[in-house]
Order: sequence, then structure tokens, then C-alpha cells
Amino acid sequence: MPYFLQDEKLFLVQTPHFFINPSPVEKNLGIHRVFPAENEMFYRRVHLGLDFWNASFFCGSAALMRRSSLMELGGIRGETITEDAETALELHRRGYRSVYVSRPMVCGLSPETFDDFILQRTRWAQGMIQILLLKNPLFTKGLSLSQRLCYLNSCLFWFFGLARIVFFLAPLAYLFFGLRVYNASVVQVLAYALPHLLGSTLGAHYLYGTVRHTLFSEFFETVQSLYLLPAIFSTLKNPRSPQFRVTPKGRSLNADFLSPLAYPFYAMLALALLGIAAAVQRWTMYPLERDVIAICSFWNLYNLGIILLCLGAVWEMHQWRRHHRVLTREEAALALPDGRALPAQVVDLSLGGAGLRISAEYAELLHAGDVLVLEAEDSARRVYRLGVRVLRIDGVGAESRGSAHVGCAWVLDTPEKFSQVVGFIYGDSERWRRLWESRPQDYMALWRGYGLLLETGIRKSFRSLVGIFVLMADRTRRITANLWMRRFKKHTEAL
Amino acid sequence: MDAAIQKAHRGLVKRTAGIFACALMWQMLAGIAWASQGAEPVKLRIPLPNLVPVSTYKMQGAYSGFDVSLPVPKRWDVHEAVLTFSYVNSTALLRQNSRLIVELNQHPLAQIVLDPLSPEGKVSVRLPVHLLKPGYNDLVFKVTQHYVLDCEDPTAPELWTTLKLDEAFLDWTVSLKPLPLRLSALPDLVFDPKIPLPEKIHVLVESPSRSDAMRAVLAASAAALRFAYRPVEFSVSDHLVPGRDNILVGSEAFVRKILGEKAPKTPEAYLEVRHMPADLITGLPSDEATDPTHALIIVSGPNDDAVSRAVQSLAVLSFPFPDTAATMVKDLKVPTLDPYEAPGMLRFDQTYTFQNLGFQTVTFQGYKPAPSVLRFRLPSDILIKPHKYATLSLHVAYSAGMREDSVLGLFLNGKFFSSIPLKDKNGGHYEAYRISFPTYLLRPGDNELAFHAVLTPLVTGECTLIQTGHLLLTVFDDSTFHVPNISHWASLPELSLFFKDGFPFAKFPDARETILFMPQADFAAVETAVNLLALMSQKIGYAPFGLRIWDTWGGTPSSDVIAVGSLDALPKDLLDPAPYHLIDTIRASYPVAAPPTGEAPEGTWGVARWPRQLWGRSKSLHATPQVRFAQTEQSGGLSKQRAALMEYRLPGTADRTLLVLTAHDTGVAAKAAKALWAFDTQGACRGDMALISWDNGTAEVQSLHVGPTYRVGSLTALTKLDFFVYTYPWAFFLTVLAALALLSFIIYRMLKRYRRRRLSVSNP
Repeated sequence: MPYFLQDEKLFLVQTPHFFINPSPVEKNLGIHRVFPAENEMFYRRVHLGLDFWNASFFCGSAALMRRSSLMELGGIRGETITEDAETALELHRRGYRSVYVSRPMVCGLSPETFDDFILQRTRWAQGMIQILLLKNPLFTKGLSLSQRLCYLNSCLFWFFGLARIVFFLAPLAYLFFGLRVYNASVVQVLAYALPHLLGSTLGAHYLYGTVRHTLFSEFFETVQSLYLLPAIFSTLKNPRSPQFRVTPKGRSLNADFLSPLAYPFYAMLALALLGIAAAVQRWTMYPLERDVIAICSFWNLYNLGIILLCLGAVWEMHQWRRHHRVLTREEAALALPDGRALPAQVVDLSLGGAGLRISAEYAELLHAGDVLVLEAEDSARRVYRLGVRVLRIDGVGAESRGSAHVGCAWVLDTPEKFSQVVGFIYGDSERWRRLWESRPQDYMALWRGYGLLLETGIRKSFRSLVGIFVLMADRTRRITANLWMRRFKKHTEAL
Repeated sequence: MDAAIQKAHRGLVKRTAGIFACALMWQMLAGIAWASQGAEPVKLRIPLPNLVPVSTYKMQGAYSGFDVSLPVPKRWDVHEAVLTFSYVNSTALLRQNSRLIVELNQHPLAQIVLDPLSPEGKVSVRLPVHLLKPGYNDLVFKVTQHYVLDCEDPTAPELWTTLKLDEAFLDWTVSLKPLPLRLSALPDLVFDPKIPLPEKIHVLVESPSRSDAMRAVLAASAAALRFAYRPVEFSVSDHLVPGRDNILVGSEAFVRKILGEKAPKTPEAYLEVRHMPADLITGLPSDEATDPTHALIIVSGPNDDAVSRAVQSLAVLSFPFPDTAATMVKDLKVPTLDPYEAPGMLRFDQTYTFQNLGFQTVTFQGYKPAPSVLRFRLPSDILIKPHKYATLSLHVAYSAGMREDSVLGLFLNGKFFSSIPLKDKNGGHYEAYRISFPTYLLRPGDNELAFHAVLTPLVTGECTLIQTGHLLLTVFDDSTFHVPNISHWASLPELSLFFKDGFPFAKFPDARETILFMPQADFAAVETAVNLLALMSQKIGYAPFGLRIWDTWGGTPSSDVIAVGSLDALPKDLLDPAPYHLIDTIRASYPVAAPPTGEAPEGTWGVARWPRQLWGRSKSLHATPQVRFAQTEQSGGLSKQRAALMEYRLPGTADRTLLVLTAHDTGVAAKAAKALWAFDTQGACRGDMALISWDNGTAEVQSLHVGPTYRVGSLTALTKLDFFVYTYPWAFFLTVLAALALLSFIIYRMLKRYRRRRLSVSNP
């Protein structure tokens, strides 16, 4: 609020989107909290840069806007399906300013499945292309040069799919058809391309290594590219055609399954593997072209590594939990019916319940089914007294190591109590700040990151392949059983 | 008896006298007939190196050969031709079946036994006159060489015979045919480049005035151009010279003065070819007798413009037309040429097919066939850069049954730079086989791209029938040659560039930016200028239509200047900055040879060696001895029988060049100009100063480079930067670093200021 008071021309204060659940890609690959989350690059680096040039734009939530500015504009604009960025662009054009505060104030949820993730990204991509076409920031009036470049960059970014597809097809074009995409010898590549690659990779790692591994960028772009490209072309063809579709969130998944969007990646895998065979054939048949064959094979193998990661990402992992937990570490007290208060530490929270850590010596005083009161304070010193039912007590006895974990469910027998629980969990932004700042800031070594991602790709794609075989076996078994039962039934009926 | 004896004696005397009279009559009649047919036969000896630019040729393998194109001018009536050559054969050859064969136009003329016991031989072969046709004739040396009777390896290294072409010569006995009276005969019959000896042509002009000098220059250029690359000496006067072709250039009155009643009427610009008047030969006045073996070309008109038009027309008549003895030129339009648009000169950033460069599809056959050469020409002022590449895109086919070590080697100007493997035993072809080579292999002027095929049969070994007839390789003429974009930039003075393509005076092929400064009005001075400019025209391949002639020095022009005249006639201002100051106080520079330049071993320079290593080696350890000069001021300069050819910066200009051909006497200067037609004289003229003398009857040249150098050319800002980058890479690198640091600092400061302002607005 002070920003609005100090600057009358300020129309927006944007804060980061802070998600308490992993994106489906991270979840499926099991790299949540191993690698930085996908949106960290944007909210920890890019948006700071946009803010520097007074081009921070509205991201749809976690922001405050000045009502009078919006009223002047006639409300949120809706010409494109990224109404948030469009509104910000219009207000920037009118000379209003924006601010980005790099401190999470609210938490949110990522899409749960790969389909939903693609749906969300398709909307963003289409919306930004719409802005490029309908409100071209380069030529629209009222923006400063830096704002033009910032908005243009945000729009053009979404064409990455084109480059990704070309990068994938270029080596294959040579290996299959002999089209010389790389007209260079190994020595030339070593002399010119390799220093460039190393320079750009190391430079990117130096600048953004704490928020994004360079290979992770390529993987993330590749995994989206196949689906974004048709949407982008359709928008280019008819900029007003895209329709707003809400991203579904908070789904629970009962079992592992293959995403319906996975099949193109299997086709890419097949092509890349055939590319290796073609490389072997060319190596033998065209000894004069071994330079180019070596270069194309290297890039084909590189693409293969990324495709393996994609295959791991599209094998959907089950998601049984109804409410996402927030990991925390806060002091509280557990009030017993007899009036005694046991010191406890809240280690996780969700709308379903809380996880507490208590001293092992107090664990014997608790029993499953006990209804107790959790007394806690938030950062504003507000006191919460919330009813909890003990569900289980772990770590009692020899393996306790001095503490025990108590799993509790909230006692939500009245709307007021539910309101109190919601207020306790989501009402304190200090918790998000603490979590935001507690993530590891140190670099993951560049080469270690490559190794880890490659290993993850191989492992997860193998699991994906096994999963497919299991699914196919299961389906075959069911079909066989069905056929058998029908024939058996007919047979018994005939008898 | 006595009477009978006396009668018999009288009869004998009468018969003898009758026979003698008949013989005398017959001789006289034969002489008249001979005279009416043409001149007496003359004997000429032409060294074979005049026809082929190689001194020796080694024929290797069981079957090999060497081709010579033997020119026979249309003008010649050949009575006899004898080829004499020497050879050395391997002593490992078998005498009984090793032969050297000489063929003329596919007719075997001689078979020489290659005897291992007398491995050196000298052979004279009479070339049948009926086989020699006007134009180019195929003279082929072939060998079949064997070292065993059976089980022979046709590629064995001991199978060789070397032709000593530098010792070979052709003895001709020829007379000149009567010339047809057609103007169309001028390009290929009168001024025929197939004439292997230096020609002499006389130009007649009315006076040594500026306008007549210009006409003489154009007329001489017209003749020199037809001779292509053959030397031709011009003499200039105001009268006819017998025994050679004459070009009579002048007004109708002047023509009438020379030819009298036989002078043609010239209502328009007029060109005519007729036989030379015979009275010049006999000395006796005759109205009808002519010398049919030499031409008199009349270039005239009713006024100065018409004469100029006529002489310009003579310069452009190249196609065999018109087929009449005379023509009147009513109008003439000469195209305006851009710089470097000379015949055969390649332009930059262009792709040429081999066909366009005069290279026809060629098929190599056999084990080691004779190389094939593609010739092209580049301007003299090319800025060769180490990082620019020219590209060949070759279309090549080769036959099956060749071993995989068969290759097509490519040589540029005698230096190997690439080869194409012919590895497929089943034969194959390459389309657009791209080969790039650095432009530093190119050289200003004429260049030669040679294809050397080495084709090895698949089946070799002892006691095996080894077939070599199937060893075939074709280089197609749709192959292309791409010349990259090269800047024009040359370091002057350099006399050798003048003898390549007339640079810098013929940069515009019509010499429109060149002034001929000729302070003396005498025929010797005109002769000097005519020879020098005709030579330049021949080098560039275009007549100097745009040349201007000054007879008084009119201040510093924005043109290049060619000055001819005696030492005392040339202005002192022009001669003062010459490399050798030849008048008044003589200033001379004498070269003093110094030891080779070396580099101190590491460690001796202490700290200084690190920047030296960083900068890189600037001089080769094997550099030629550095030349230093001792400079003197003295008396006694150029002798009376010596001429000086000097090139230096035109005083008062930054990049204009002055070429001076001078001597104490214009006659000596003219003699020097004629001597410059000889290839060896041209080759000896280098640097900025050449002294020409005739101590032993033949011209001798001593060259030197003593004066300061300057650069000419047009560089764009980008090219200048490019030049700086590759000439001083480390300086460029440091400059870039400094610029980056400065830029970074400026951006940093700007960002900091912007940030401060931004924070004060958004985050008070």
C-alpha cells in the first residue's frame, strides 16, 4: 500500500506467484526441490528486470491494482485471453507505472496434470501472441523504448517452439536425407560453435544458475513446443480466435497413467533412435562426410536426452492427497483436556490437518483419537486455538531419537472453525516469505545438473516404458478375460 | 677440217651462248615471277619455349605424351619447317620396343628409338609443309616405354623420358603471302598473334604535334591489340618505311602528300588497306608496282574529327568485317567502360562457369595425363586477405576400375592446394564438389588453375595384363569458380604492375584518368609514347580512347601521368621527387646488403619478450637480407646510352602516380620503349626505378626500389576495419577490449542513474 500512497501514477503492485505444489513436470520427474521450480526464473530474475524498466505486468493474481486506474481504462481489458498482461500494457501506455515486490504474499496451486499444464501454457502463449498482433508493443503509442522491448520480449519468447522443432529436425534432416544443415567441419565447429556454446551456457549459468539449469530450459521448452506451435500458428492465422479456458487445479490422481499428450514424444524418440541408425549407416557409406555426421550425431544424441526427459514428464504420477501440504517450522502448543500445554512444533499444514513434532516424552500422553487444542501464533501475534484430532503418533519408542511426529486432523464441526483454520494457514504471508527465502540458493554445478537430469530422464523414461507395458498387459488381460467370459457364458448357457 | 672444227666451235659457242642467254632469261623471268609472287624466302629460328611456357617435361609411364600448339600465321607461305629437340630417356628402358613418336596433326612423323645405351639424343624432324595448316597445329610428343618384355608395371618409376624443351627450336623457311585487300583481314592476317617473332610496324603522322601523337597512339594501340600478347615495335615518322606494314594516319592533304595521285578521296572518316607502293623498295618511280606482302593502312578524313573517328574505328575493328578494301565511317559510338572492365579480367563477388573462362570440358586419359589449365586474370591492385576464400564448385566424373589412390590434384599458380579423391572402384561423379582455397594463393594479373590427374589402374602387379585405357576423368565446363569480394588496394610504386595490366594508368581501360605528358615535339618522343601506350593497351586489352595529351605542364592534375621526354625537357618539379635525382645535383641511393634479420632468443629481452610473444612474430626468420641504402649527392649521372624508367607519386597528390621514361636524348628513350616489348625486359622492371642500357647490343635492365611507398585504392570503412583487424590482430583485440570496457562502464553508469531515478519514483 505505501507504494500507492507515494506514487499517484502507480497502478500495479505485483508479487510472485508462490505455489505450494510442484508443477506436473517436476512431480512426474521427481525433481521438485532438487532443481529450482520452473516459475522461479520468471519471478526471481525476469520480473525484477521488467520492474527495473517499469514494465512489470499483471500476472493475473497476487497483485494489487489501483481501482481508479482500472476505471479509467473501463475495467480489465478482454481483447486477448491474457487479459492481465493486456491490461497492464494499456495502463503503461497511459503513463501509469508498476512495481514488482519480490516477496510472496499469497500462495497458489500449479496445475496437477500435464494436460492442464499444457492447457495453461497454450493460453499464455496464445494470449501473448494476440498482444503481439493486436497491440504490437513495438509500435503502439505511449510506451517507452525499454517498455516496448520488455513487452516485445515477453511476446516473442513464446516462439521458442519453432526453434526447438528446428533444432530437433535439423540433425535428422541430414542423417535421413543428407541435407547439409551444418556446413562445417569438426574443426570449424570446435573453433567457432563450441566457444559460443560454452560461453553462452556458462554465461547463462552464471546469471541464472540459481533459478534455472540451462538444460532444464531446453527441456521445458521442448516439452511444450509440440503443443504450443499449432496454437501459435492458429493465433497467427486468426488472432481473435483463441478462447479463454480456465486451468483446472486441485485435482487428485488415483493411479499412475500415461498422459494422452505423450504419444508425439514416443514418435520423436523413434525418430531420434532411427537417426542413430542412419548415422551409423552414413558413417560407413560416406567417409568424406564424417565431420558432419559426427556433429549431427552429437546433436541427435543431445535431443534424445531431452526426449527421454520429456517421456518421464508425461508419465503422470498418482496424487492421492486431497489438500497440498505446506512445509513449515513454527512453534505451537498442544493443550490437553486436563489443561496442560505441551510444547510442539508445526512441521506441515494443510486444509486437512497438521503435522506436529513433540518431545518423545510427551508422546506417551497422547493417543490416537484424542481431541486436543492446537495453540499457535502468526507473525502478527494473532493467537489461534484450533481443535485437532490425533490420527497417528510416529516415532515413539527406541527409534524416537528424542521426538515424535503427531499427525492430526482439524476438527471442523462449525464454519467458524473452518474459517479459523483457513485464516491460520493462508492468512500469514510471512510463512510464504520464509519458505520463499529458505530454498537453497547455492549453485548446482553445471555438469552435475546435466548428469542428474540425464540420469533422471533415463530412469523416468524407463519407468514410463515399463508403465506402458504394464498398462498394455493389464488391458490385454482384461480384453482376454472379457472375451473368455463371454465365450464361457455362451458355453454355460448352451449347456 | 679446220673450217669444220671452227664451225663446230662456233656452233658450240653459239649453243653455249644461247643456253647461257636462255638460263639468264629464265633466271630473270623466274626473278620477276618470284618478285610478283612475294618476297624471298627467309629463314627463321624460333625457340620452342616461345610457344610453351615450360622448359622441360617428363613423360612417365608406359604411355605418355605432351602437346604443343604450333601456330602458323596465315600470312606465311611455309617452304620448310624443321623441328629440332633434345631428350633424355631412362637407361632402364628396353631398346627394342621403347619409342618416342612425334606427330603433327595426328600424323606420325618420326619414331625415335629410346636407347638405354645412348640415353641422350638430339633429333631434327622435318614437318611436312602440306600438314601445316594456317592457325594452330597439334604437335604431339608421345612415348611408349618398356623396361621388360613381359609382366610389366606400366606405372613403374623407371619408365620416363624428359623432353628438353628449352633446347628445342623450329627452323622455318617462309615467305610472305600477298595480302588480300580486305579490312577484315587486319585482325587475323596482318596483325596476327600467331606470328611468333616480334613484328615491326610503322606509323606515319603529319607532325609530332599533340593531336598527331594521339592518333599515332590509337593507331599503334589498334595494331598492338590485334597482336594479343606478341611483341610489336612501332616506329613513327612522317614518311613511309618499306619492308613492313605502315599505318598512314592524317588529313586528306597529308595522305595526298605521301601517296600523290594514288591518294584516295576521303569525304568521310576513311579506312583503307592497300599494298605498299613498290617504288619505295626499288627506288624507281612506278605507278602500278606494289609490294603485295605488306599492307599500307590509310586512316584519313576531311577534318580532324573525321581522322580521329577513323583511327578510333581502326582500334575497334576486330570482327572480320568489312570485307572491302576501304570503308567510310559516318558514326562511331564507343562504350564507356567502368574501372577494371578489361577483357578477361574477373570481377569480384561473381561466380563464373569454366566455360565462360574459356575452359572447355576436358577428359584426362591414361596413367598420368598431361595437365589441363584454366587461366584467368585479376586486377593488379587486389588486397589479398588471409581470411578470404575463393570457391571452386567442380563437376567431375571418373571411370570405373581405378584404384582408390587415384586423385585429381589442383594447383594454383604452380602451388598444390587441394585434391579430389577418386576412391570408388565402380566409378562415380561429383556434382558441385566444393573446394575453397585462400585468396593469398591468387596473384595480381594472370593466374593459372591446373588440374593434374593421377589415375592408377585397379589391376596391377607382375605378369598381369595392365589396362590403362580405361583410366578416364572428365572435368566438365559447367563447373564454377567464385571470386570473393576483394578490395582494390595496392602498394605503389611498383613497375611490375604496369607490365601486368598497365596499373594504375589503365585502371580505367580507356585510360580516361591518365595524361600523357610529352614536352618535346619530335618524332622520337612520339615513338617513345606510342610504344609505351601501345604496350599498355595490349596489357589491358583496350585502346586508350580517354587518354589526354599535354605538351606543357598545366599544374597538378587529378589523373595519373605518363611523362616521356629527354631529361632536360621534363620540368624539374616533376623530376625532383624521383627515386634517383638525375639532373643538377645528382642524388642516388646505392643498396648496401645487410645480414639476414633474425630474432633474439627468448630470455635476452627480459620483460620485453612477453609483449613481443603476445604480439606475434612479425618477420620471418628466413627473410631475404634487408636492403639498406647509402645516399649520395654527386656529379655524373645517366650516361648518354642509358634510359631510366621511374615510377613514383605524382608531386602534389596523395595517390596519383607518375611514370617517367627518360634519357638524355629522346632517341634513346624511344629505343628503351621498344626494348620494353621484350618479355625478359618487362620481367626485369621492378620496384620504382629501372635503368635500361644496351651494353652488349641487347637491352639490360637493373631495377631498384628506393623511394617511399604509398597506397592507392578505395577502401570502405568496413574494409579499413577489416584491414586493421587482420594486419594488427592483437591491436584490434586490445582495442575491442578497451571499447568493451568503456561501453560497459558507460552502460553501468547509465543503469545506475536510471535505477536511482526509478527507485526514487517507485520505492520512496
